[in-house]
Amino acid sequence: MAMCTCCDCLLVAQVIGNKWDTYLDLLQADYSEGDALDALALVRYCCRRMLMTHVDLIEKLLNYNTLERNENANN
Amino acid sequence: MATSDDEEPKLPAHLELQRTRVVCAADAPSYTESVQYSGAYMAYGVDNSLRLEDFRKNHRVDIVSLNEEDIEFDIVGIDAAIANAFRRILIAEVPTMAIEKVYIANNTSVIQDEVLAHRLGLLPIKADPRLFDYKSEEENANEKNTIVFKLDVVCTRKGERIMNGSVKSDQMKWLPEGSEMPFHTKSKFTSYGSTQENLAGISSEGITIMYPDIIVAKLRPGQAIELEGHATKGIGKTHAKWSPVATARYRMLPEVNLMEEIQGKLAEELVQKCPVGVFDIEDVGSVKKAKVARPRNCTLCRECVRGDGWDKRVQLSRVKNHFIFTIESTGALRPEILFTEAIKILNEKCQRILTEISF
Amino acid sequence: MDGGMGAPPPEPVTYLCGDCGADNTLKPGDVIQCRECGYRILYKKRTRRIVQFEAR
Repeated sequence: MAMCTCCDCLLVAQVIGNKWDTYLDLLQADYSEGDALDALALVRYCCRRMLMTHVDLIEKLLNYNTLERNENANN
Repeated sequence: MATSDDEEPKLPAHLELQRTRVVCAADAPSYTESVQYSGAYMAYGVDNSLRLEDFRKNHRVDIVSLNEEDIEFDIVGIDAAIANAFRRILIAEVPTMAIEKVYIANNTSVIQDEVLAHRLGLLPIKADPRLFDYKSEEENANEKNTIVFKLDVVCTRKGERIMNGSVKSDQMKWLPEGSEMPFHTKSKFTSYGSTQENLAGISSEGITIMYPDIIVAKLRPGQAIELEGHATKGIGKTHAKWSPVATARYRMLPEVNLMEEIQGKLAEELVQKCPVGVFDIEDVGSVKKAKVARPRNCTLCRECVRGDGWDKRVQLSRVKNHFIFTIESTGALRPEILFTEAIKILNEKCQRILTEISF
Repeated sequence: MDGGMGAPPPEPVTYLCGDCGADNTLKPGDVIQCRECGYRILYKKRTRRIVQFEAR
């Protein structure tokens, strides 16, 4: 269960944890998936699938934050 | 047996090919084995034994490209077994530092403690492992065997902005004085004799995580993480987080031979067939002639030997003792240093065997 | 938990409301209900004790 982006490529341990945000930015800038991955210098298909198939589930879970309302109550 | 001052007896060409090349035909590769037996070619008067002088004469290392993280070099005159030993040692036996113990004081994020600890373990640490000792489970943590990182983040909302929404690896702070935990007792998890800043070989920037922008966790306002990560020295055999390379790989040098002159239409067809552009067309007078321009590009996909009669025109082979070696470091050590470390480890293993078998 | 004679009186424990997230300090015998919003599910806070994990 990969909630957050994996730190490393699961097959070859290439560091990819710092590439997710850049990847999203590139997609926003109308790059195709393939071109974005090329721009990130991910040459192997194992590393490429890490970003390509990732679903950032943590963003969904972060919506359920009871501590947030706690802060507002204290303010 | 051959003596060095007479004319050395030679193997016939077809046997020399079998000895030194793997031939990749359209259906399957052949002559893949390496001939080890010293008397294998006794009938031809050829001595096949391994000799140190021959190795010295034939061995060669050429660096093709090198930067901070990657190296590609040719290593010539060794057997596949040795090349593979280097590859396996690089992946599994060259040590690095990685976070092994995580002490979590607080974690109210949505990432579970175990998952968070696992993620921290995978962060590559920019510290020379040669400066540190291995730590056994019973041993106390000291300045020679443990590096301590601290992560203390609270996510807050400042107006519309969320502070510390994503925790990046540069928020892991190195503690050169050792652990600050447990907070309210005199004795800590580590007992440093001196600060790690004074250790010989520690660079002025100190010890950091290799890349500053790896996402460790994501938080929402009110959530907090407070922890310490204790990094120790280890090898990839124990856990992949200690592996110093992203990949270490080799391939044998491809060799492409044209068995006959290929001209005109056929030459164009050949250039078309190859997906990686090994062949070029040469204009000799008015005739278009195919030539092998970039054999190193060849991936041995064997497209060029498929189809009617093509296996008679082109011969693909690999040179058995010429390896194109590529190492991609994850950052702790430069790739060329990784390779020399691998050589030292193989050397150590050989020394161990020598002492085992000598009386 | 009440211990023997001379044990200190049980300390009030702070809980988090399951709905609004407010801190609620309860003593034994108190009604389990949030003082801010009246929600009846309260959660215990995470321990402040240090927990050790293997980063594997």
